[in-house]
Amino acid sequence: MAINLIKGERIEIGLSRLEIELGWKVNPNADPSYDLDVSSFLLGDTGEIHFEEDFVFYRSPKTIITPEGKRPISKDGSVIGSVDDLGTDEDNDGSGQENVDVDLTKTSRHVQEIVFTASIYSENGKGNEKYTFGQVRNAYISIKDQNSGDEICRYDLDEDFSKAKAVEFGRLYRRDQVWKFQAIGEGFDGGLEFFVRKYAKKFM
Amino acid sequence: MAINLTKGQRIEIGLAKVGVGLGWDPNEGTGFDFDLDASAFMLGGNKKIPQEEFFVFYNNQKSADGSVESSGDDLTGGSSDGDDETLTVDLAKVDTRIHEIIFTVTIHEYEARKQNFGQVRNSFIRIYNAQNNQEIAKYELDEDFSVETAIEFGRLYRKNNEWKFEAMGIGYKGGLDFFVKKYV
Repeated sequence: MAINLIKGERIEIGLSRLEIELGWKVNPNADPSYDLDVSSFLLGDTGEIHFEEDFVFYRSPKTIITPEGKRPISKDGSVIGSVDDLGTDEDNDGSGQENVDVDLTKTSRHVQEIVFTASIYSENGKGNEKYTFGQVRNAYISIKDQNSGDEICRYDLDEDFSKAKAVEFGRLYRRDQVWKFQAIGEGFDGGLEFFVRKYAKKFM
Repeated sequence: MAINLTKGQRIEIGLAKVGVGLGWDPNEGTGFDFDLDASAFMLGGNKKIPQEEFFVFYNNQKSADGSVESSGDDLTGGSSDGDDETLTVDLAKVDTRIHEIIFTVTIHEYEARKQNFGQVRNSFIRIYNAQNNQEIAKYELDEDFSVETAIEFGRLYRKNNEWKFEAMGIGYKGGLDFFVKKYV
């Protein structure tokens, strides 16, 4: 049985090979269209990334070819980012999801936490002012066992984020030599750029 | 080095003045501010406060005997990188009717704001020797009490004319009114 976490809650993960799934539903008929992008930040003890490749997102400098397509990958190879889901699913109901694969046995020793975020991106940046997480429904983050596919825990974001353009969904972090997961669900009004300023400032 | 307390462990203080510091990081997101409050309940032999002024909190910043004083209410956690709220205790001034002093931490309007300690980054409560700033005990609220909204941190109590400190570390899902019902 998967555990449903509440905002702020922390649990020990107990596994190394994880699949992190972030899902949501947007308005499929919006004009201009918009989609959500998942990014991962591998943070050192300063609370910032050490290497540019430790910001894993749709334009990462380091990529890997997988059966699903080209995917961004962290410097240490422990985090493989998602294939960008532009919401062009067959039934066009606006639901989207992106998956990040994590292998904590490969994580560099300097990395203390891995933060998972989702941010809104509008077609050519045109609607960036227009859209917020107020237009996003059914958002969740789920941690699965990569081997079995079983869900370990899940957090459904149940708040109104109408002022937010980017949301921190959750984070994995080291605590006394074990990895724990925390459900965060905090919205920020600056979009992906806010997180880059916070976690990757020296590479801006 | 601070001593890492297990719950309920007793430590002899043998000090004249102690401080209780509460610290946390402000909310940078679009959600509500985090407003944590440190309070002190000064109890008589019947485990209740002898009079209202022995409950030190944001609306009463000094105890009736002047022994416990609050630095004031921080509404956001933005005061400093260290303690945002402090209670100082001068044990020599404590009224003889008082048998123990209980320290609590609560989140203001936790229910309406849907908050718990787990959401509050770098939140901690610590007790230290106010004369040399040496830490005696500390809890990390966000880590140790992630789904809770109130804790009884610990208590100073008299035994054989000496003041001792006991770390309690008991978390609750309630607010300051929960402790008021218990001790007032």
